[in-house]
Amino acid sequence: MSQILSWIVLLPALTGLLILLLPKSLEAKSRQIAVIATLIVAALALWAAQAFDVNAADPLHFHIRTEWIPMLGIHYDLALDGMNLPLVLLTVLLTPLAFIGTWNQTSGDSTMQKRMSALVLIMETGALGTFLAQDLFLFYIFWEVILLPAYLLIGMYGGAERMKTTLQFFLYTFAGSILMLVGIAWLVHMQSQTTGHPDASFQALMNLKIPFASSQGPAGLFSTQGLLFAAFAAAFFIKAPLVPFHAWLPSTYRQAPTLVSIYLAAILSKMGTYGILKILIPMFPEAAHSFQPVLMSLAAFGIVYGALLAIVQTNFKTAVAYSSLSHVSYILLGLFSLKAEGMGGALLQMVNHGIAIAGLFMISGFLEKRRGSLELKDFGGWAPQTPVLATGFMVIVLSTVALPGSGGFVGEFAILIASFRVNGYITAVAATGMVLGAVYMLNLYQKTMFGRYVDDYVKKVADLDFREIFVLVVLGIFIVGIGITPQPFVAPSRTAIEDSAKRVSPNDALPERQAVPGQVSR
Amino acid sequence: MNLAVLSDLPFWILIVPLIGFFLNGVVIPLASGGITKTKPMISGGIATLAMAVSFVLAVIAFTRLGGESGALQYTGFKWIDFGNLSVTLNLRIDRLSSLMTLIITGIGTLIHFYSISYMSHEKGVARFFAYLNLFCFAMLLLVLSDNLLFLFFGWEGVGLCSYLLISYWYEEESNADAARKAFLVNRIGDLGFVLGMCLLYVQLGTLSFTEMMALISPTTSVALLSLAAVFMFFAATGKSAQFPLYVWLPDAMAGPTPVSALIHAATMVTAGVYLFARMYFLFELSPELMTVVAYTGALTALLGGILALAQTDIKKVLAYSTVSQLGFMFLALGVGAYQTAVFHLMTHAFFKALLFLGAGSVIHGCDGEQDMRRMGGLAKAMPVTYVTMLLGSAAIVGLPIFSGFFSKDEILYMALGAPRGSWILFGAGLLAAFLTGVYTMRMLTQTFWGEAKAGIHGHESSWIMTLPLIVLALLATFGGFLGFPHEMGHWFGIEHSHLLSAWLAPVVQQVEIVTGSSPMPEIVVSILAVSIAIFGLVAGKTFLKNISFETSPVLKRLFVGQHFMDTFYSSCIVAPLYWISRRLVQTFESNVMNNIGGWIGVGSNWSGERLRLTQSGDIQLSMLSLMAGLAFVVGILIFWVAV
Amino acid sequence: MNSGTILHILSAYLFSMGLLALILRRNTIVMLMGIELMLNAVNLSFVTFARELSQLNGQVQVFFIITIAAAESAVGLSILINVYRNFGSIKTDRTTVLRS
Repeated sequence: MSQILSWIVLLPALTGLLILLLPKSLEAKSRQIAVIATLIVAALALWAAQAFDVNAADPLHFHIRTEWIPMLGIHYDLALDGMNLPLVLLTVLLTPLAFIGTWNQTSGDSTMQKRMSALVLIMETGALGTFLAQDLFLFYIFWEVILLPAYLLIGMYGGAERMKTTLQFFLYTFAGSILMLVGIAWLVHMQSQTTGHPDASFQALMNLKIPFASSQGPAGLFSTQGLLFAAFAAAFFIKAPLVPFHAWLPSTYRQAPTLVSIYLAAILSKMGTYGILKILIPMFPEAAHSFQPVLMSLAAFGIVYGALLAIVQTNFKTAVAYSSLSHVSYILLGLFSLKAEGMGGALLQMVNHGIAIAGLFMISGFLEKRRGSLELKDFGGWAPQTPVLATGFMVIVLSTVALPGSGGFVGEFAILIASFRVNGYITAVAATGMVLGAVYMLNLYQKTMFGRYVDDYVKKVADLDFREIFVLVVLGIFIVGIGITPQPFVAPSRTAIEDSAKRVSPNDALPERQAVPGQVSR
Repeated sequence: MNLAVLSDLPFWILIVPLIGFFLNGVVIPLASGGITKTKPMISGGIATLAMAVSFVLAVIAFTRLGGESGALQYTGFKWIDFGNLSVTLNLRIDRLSSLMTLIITGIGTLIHFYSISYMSHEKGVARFFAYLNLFCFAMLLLVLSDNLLFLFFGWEGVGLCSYLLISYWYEEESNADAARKAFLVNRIGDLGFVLGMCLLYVQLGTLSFTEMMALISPTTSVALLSLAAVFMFFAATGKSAQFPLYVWLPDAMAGPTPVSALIHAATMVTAGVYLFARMYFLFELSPELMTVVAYTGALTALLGGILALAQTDIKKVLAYSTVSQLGFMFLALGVGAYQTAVFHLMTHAFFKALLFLGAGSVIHGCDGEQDMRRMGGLAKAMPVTYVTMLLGSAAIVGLPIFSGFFSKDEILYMALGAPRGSWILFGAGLLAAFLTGVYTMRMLTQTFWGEAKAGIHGHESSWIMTLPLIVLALLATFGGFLGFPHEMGHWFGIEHSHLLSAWLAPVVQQVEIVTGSSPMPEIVVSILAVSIAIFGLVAGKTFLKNISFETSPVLKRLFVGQHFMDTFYSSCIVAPLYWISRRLVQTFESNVMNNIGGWIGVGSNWSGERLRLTQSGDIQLSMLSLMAGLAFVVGILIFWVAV
Repeated sequence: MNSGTILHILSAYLFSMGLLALILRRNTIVMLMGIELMLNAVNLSFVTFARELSQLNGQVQVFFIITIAAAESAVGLSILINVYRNFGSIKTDRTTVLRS
């Protein structure tokens, strides 16, 4: 079992390649094979998760480290740690659910099913590898593995404007990746200059002292650390995305087939935020501190901006896409607070957002399959016909609007508390997202589920079938479970994130909780 | 008795309605093959039973607390512990929570019972009862939580249930709109709650009430804590429908009538009052804010009374009346009379639940008609409803011995005599009391008296509906004696006549009125209030009975077109918001953001077209440029590096 | 001025002449001759250095270069014959099929 992480990472891609080689006669079974493979991966990952020991001396569990390109200090280096555990679990659980939930929507010809399943499996390998990699170069390789399948999936099976969309998506993410590659080369070069033997592992790079112009403001950007920060930030901000790097997002989410939309919004965007948590903040702490006001303001702006745009959308999927922009900005706000509870809340919010946005895109898939359109004017009055769909949709809406008792609230609350410690005004702006979020989510819900029928098709609309109910129930259990008892979900990440927070804000000691009356801090 | 139930009373009081919700929301629909096939008797029976059990447990908790002034604790679990953030879920019943629990479960039980008959014609009634039970769970969590965070769980939870229940008949677009409006206005208030909570946590490092109380003493003067109090007040104006956020409550009448009785009269809208009573130590830090609270309350009381005058829908009359009565409570809070506010909260829960259920009975008897202009002469057709409504009206108007008399007089006395009180507050309160008389009389006259209108006959409701009416009528009539004024108590030779005050004294603060400092004694205030209320009744009977606000454009604009706040919001907030969003979509997003990718392509094409000219394929040219490059490099090596 | 310096200057002169022939003339045969001239200029330079530094390395290198120059001119001329067959000319401005 020492190679369990290799199995987890590589099994999906191997299955994907196998599926591509399937003969015509077996093509119809491609999705079954894909689901079984993802379930095996999920089982392996759950086994690894239950063996995860929070108190272990070595934070890296199931560590695999083999030399790959010794000249450049590159290792094949995978390990499960507190930071990636939640995201690995999110990925392995969402992938089979995404397959099952979109079962009836990918019912084109069997060749299309074959290609889609294979490419999505390759994307899963990319995502898992990105999360599990403990070597910067390996991280980059897996990061890039995602890009090609996503490009092909949107380009082949997307909506009407897929060519423009896919070009835009590719150019954006690739531009960010290239900058990151330059940053990696520079960083590893610096490391080998300092210590004499090159090593691209996170552990080694963390110990590097990178010069930074201590003065506040733009001068810091042109110091070594500032430039490196910018190079990595470009990749992560585009992938997440942070406003104003979001231009690829609305059309991509809208044009992609449902299965791919789920994957892009729920998992790929988390690669960007994970990169910020794992690499950007701990490796460039001074730069992160120096740019904190700008980044937090941008995040708060993004929350409001995404929400405002979501309010006036007339298409279900576009509205969900902009809502995702708004919610990812919450995650970024928590990350850039540079406080332990903010980063922990952000990590939890990554999971919550993954679950909620997957649910929303699945529901858009359910609606599209039943109606053949996603324009809101074509909807209305579904609740009496489809009570199960209406209930499931409501649960996901509640998590999206961060109602207490749903997962969404826990993360947002922790993020707001942390952000409040840094700056009350930015937090106040960000908190308006609570109200605006309720506006667009309730609009969406009301325009689809409530009101009068638009025409008679509603009477023929079928409620959810067994697979769709199953998916929503699983998502609902996680939403409510995280909302009511979040502690088990955040406990594994606690040590890792508190250490990281100590690195980046060493002066931010946790205040002793005083029981002395009248002594109020500050 | 060593039953597990009794040792963990707070937990079980809370959890029983949740079990009811689960049964009605999941088990029964599955068992009966679809939610539309559920039976009102079974679903309603289970829901009512859950509430009744909870009520019995609440009574046990109440008797336990009778002995000592402590609290019943239930230690829950560590909710989150991460970095600087650590919150534990604990439940706590002290004397204030106990009183609120009794009101919620007691009136809740009656209203659940009533609903069995009221909702009997509906399809899929399990959904209704599930929501109703979920609401009671959230409301109980609100009052049982020992910290602000879980109070907020309940706070938002009741908002959600309110949303679900207002939109219960969601086939009507307008109902869904009303529900959304209620949720969003409450959310705006909740924004204040979250910010206030963040501020308190960052300042104090805890959200538990007892710990916060220990950390905040009247001598701590921290500007940020006052700011937190302002945020909390803002939150309370949303939930308790105070000016300027009261606009959602009248629209919320789109829900079924029992919902209006339970949520929008007796319990949820009083959450703001509860918050003030619970956190008085925070609010007392800034007397300026409390003065604002008092004036806001007075303004709301007046506004609600005026707007209630012109309504034609019987439920909307009661809705604005609720706004007005909540204004009274905030007036009391503002002057520091927290116990008095809780007292009025209780009596208001009795008589307003009664009035709403009575109105529901009327609507039920008139086959869904809500317009009072088309009713009349229902007294004969619906005797039980008529008599109970009469008692409820007497209570709300404040006729002597009825419950409203005691609580309202106490508020007026406090508004005048307390240190933060003033003649303006007192006058506003008196005027609002007068208006109460007018609109109540107008409602009674149009509904029960006079000639029966064509088409509406009315029939008495079944005993399931009238029994709760009778119980509530008894409470509305005699409930006020729990707060028999001290001054009058002395005349009768009773010590501690104000039972409620004695009960709440250990946990809720009350401003003291030094004898003789008030401009007039309480008995004079009472006489004044009663006479002005009777004057209001007479005015309602004689003058306003037949005034139609539809005929006069000015009056219509002022009263019937109650939507001036709505218009204000939609033109000053909603419309600009949408305008900005549309602008953003049409300009920046579609022209700039959407094309950046395209521009990258265009830029590459353009530069490629230019650059390919250099690639002529002419070998001599290539050689020449090669040589030029070589010369350049060599030149640099010789002349620059060497220097 | 000793003989070594003169030989170096001669070598540089021959190299430049060869380079100019390569750049300026359009006739491919002349260009080939230019290349040969440059190679021989380098040879001369090698031999001179070898003599000045009393090392045999330069002399050995010259043998290699002569061999490679012979091979190169053989290949180059055969290519030219093919070019002539296909284009009817050996001027470089006629052979422009790679230009779009």
